[in-house]
Amino acid sequence: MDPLERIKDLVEKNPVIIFMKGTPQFPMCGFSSRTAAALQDCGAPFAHVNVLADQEVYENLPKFADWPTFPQVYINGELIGGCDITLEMHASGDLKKMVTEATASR
Amino acid sequence: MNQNERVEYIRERITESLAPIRLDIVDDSHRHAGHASAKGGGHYNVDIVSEAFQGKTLIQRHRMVYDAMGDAMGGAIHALSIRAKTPQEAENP
Repeated sequence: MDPLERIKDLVEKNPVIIFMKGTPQFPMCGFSSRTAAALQDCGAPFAHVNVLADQEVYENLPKFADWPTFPQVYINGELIGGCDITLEMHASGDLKKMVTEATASR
Repeated sequence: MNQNERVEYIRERITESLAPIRLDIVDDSHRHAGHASAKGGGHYNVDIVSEAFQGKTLIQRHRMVYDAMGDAMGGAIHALSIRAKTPQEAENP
């Protein structure tokens, strides 16, 4: 499958997904670690892709979203942002609301 | 680019694109030294207050900053931590 198609498939099939360095249990980067922790704090299940273990996604995700860095969080197929935005939305309560709604509607 | 040149590059690019009324740049690279996937690129915290952010969502604001950096993102700049506020937001947090 074309790498960009594969990424599109991943973000559309999973209501909440994070592309990160490492995994939520074993994050390999501080930004990824804090972002995954914010999602976990929302209390709903979410998917993750370890971009360090998936060269194809690592190389193609930045152009897929026109977003240059990791981590990247998608809700209902749409890029929410990286670490700063996810943490800011977590602090305001918006993240939990969006995650809860996205996972409840599937 | 050496470390000072990178900070100057970020300052020039943001000043030119976003005409900030406040711009603070902190080089945070030392905290990520040895971070394998950084491949020698730096980590920076930028705090920007600009009228240009008026009416823009967070994701739009971050895109404006990344766009200003051009090709340096992913190369000389490995990561940017961005705070992007309008003058009104900065005064009434």
